[in-house]
Amino acid sequence: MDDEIHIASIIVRHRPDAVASIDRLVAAMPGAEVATREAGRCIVLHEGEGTRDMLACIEAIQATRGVISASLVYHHAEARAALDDILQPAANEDDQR
Amino acid sequence: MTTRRDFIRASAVGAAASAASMAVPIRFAGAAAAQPPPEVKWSKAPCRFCGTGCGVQVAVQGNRVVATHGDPEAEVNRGLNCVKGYFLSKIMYGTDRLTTPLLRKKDGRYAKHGQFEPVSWDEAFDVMAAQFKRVLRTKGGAGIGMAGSGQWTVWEGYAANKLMKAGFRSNHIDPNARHCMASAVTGFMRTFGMDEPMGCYDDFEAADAFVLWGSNMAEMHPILWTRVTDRRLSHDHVKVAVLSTFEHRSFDLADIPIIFKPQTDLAILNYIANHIIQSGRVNEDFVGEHVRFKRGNDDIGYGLRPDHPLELAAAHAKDPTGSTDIDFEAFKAFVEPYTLEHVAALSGVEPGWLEHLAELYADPAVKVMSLWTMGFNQHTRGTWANNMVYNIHLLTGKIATPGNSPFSLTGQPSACGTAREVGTFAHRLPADLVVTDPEHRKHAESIWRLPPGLIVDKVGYHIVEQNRMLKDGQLNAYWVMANNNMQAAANLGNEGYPGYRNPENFIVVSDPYPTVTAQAADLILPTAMWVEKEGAYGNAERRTQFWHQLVKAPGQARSDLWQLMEFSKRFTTEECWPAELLDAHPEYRDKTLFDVLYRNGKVDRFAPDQVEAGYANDEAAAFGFYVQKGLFEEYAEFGAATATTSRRSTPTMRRAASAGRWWTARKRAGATTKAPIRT
Repeated sequence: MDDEIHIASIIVRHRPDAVASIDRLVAAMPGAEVATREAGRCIVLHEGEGTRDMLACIEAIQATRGVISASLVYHHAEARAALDDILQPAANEDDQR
Repeated sequence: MTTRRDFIRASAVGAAASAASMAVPIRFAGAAAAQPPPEVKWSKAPCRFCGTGCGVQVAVQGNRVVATHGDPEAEVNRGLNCVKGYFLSKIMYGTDRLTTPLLRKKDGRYAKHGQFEPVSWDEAFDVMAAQFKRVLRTKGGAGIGMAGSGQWTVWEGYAANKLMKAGFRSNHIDPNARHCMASAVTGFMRTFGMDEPMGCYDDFEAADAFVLWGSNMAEMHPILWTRVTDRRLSHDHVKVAVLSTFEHRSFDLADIPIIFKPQTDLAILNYIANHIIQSGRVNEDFVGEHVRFKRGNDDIGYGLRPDHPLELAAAHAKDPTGSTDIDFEAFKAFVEPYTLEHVAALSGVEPGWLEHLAELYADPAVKVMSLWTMGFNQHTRGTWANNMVYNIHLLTGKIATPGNSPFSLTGQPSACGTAREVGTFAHRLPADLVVTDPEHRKHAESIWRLPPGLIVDKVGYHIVEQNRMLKDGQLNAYWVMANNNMQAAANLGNEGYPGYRNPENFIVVSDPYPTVTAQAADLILPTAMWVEKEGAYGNAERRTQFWHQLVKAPGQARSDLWQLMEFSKRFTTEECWPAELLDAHPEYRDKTLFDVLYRNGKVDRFAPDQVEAGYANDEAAAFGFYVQKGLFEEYAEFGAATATTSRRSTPTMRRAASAGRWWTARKRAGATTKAPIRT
């Protein structure tokens, strides 16, 4: 299980004027993207090779001026080799919503 | 087509969106609807890292935790997790995880100065029991000690407490929670006569003001800080005051930022009391009905060895919690010198900020939550700081109603649930009972079905004293569980390390990893952790949360609970209890400690098939009964027995039994405010 990819989502709460600096930070960080946003908050999705990447990402967000909190929500570690496996579509997609 | 990567990314975004009540963006919605991988099973557990007590969902695949996310249905964290939670799926899988007992040996035998070698559990317990019996023969239980922790599960702490206090007849058991919570507990006991906060996390959404007294919640309790943040940013009238001796991340949200000179927080608290009185905002009805005034002893020393010059010079070193009755007028006169000008000069804080702060408490329309952690609890005068924050809440009656809440936050996941409520302290028994009270001992002995007079009536060595007594050769057989005290305790060079390496002593450390404490031991026992066993933790708001065993521990690692109970089989009552006691109660003869403590007709009364289907339970399998349930139900009797026991002697028992648990303090008569003491 050593060759793992870590996928995590982070809720960022920030002052309204921090949007541009968060975008600049995320653009400069490989594996990170802003998945969605509303006024004063956004969700950052991060994919990286392990603990260091992931913590560096959260710390960099927290250190950004105007950021009030960065909370990890979901974290999954998966063998790199298994990531491109195809999953079956759900029998009835409505059931999954 | 959806790949596993797409699915995981969509799940991550979905969980975050749900926690933040945001819409899932359309580009992730398709993948999220794919069939989840069938080999992954999700279960609930509380986070193991801090006292907040967040609920998490844990995904297990092939006996391995592969994913975690904040549980959206958990009332504490509502789907969020903090960076500590990130380590939940990593903490069990370090490459240096201990998987076999390790004993210091030379030429094939135990030797204090030998090197660690892998041994079987049988050999480990044989050597350990021989060493404990050596000490029992010469000193009895007085030579045996245990250091526990607020990371023990409820039943591990309970089983350890019984093994030490009833089995070995030693009160030298104390948790590392002493280091962090002693001031908080003593503050509660002196002021209210009972331990633990009267408020709960729901206060966050009801408060109009938050005051951080020496707590950096933004970094240390991030999930609770999120609730403060949400309240502040969504309600314009809400104010946040942050007090510290240095600027930290919580100041980002501060409306009232206060950097004060060390120790002058005590003067600031007296100033606030004075401001409340001078501006005529004392809640006289509340004070008249509920508050008694006392002046605590000052010049109390520093908790050093009794022969230290600083202790010899201190007038009240022997009675640091002593006090004398005074009245409101005397209290008023006491705080009168603490004027705005005087305290501003003492503290170095702008008078304007101090006035704003005092008004948060004085204004009857503002509901205030005071929050603190080690800024108070590891203060040189920590108990006073705790007493003094209660002073200002009691003067204004701002206590134990929604949003009005002096709140001592805890650091460990079960500092409240295990260390404090189970009473794994040198002076305590479960449910705030104490070893020094004959009625309390009798009550515990009766619930435990043990002979009267078994529990020793003297307070044992607390965790700091334990290191001193190891060094002095008074304590000779010592078991450390679920803490890293060589790293954490003060005075490593003078007392901790010399104590562990004293040739007279045998030191056992149970841990999942080779900590510095483990490396200083003579025997290391590999421990199962978190979801490798069934558990229960009690968080800072006294919420007790349970979890199932989800995976197997690696190699030979076994839970602390298994270790305590299995080890107890190696001792007979004759080896541990005085002959007179057994002469008077011969029915306890020819039994092991395991028989009298755990196979007592109560702890062993639930069959293993009562474990929830679909979950393993290694302890139930090993002992043939549902150990955790039996221990918990016996423990619960300390709460159920309240109807027959006086209120004065068993406050926590009453509280545990009362349905309206959160808001009980308001109705209690005789709450006490301590007159603060000169800084």
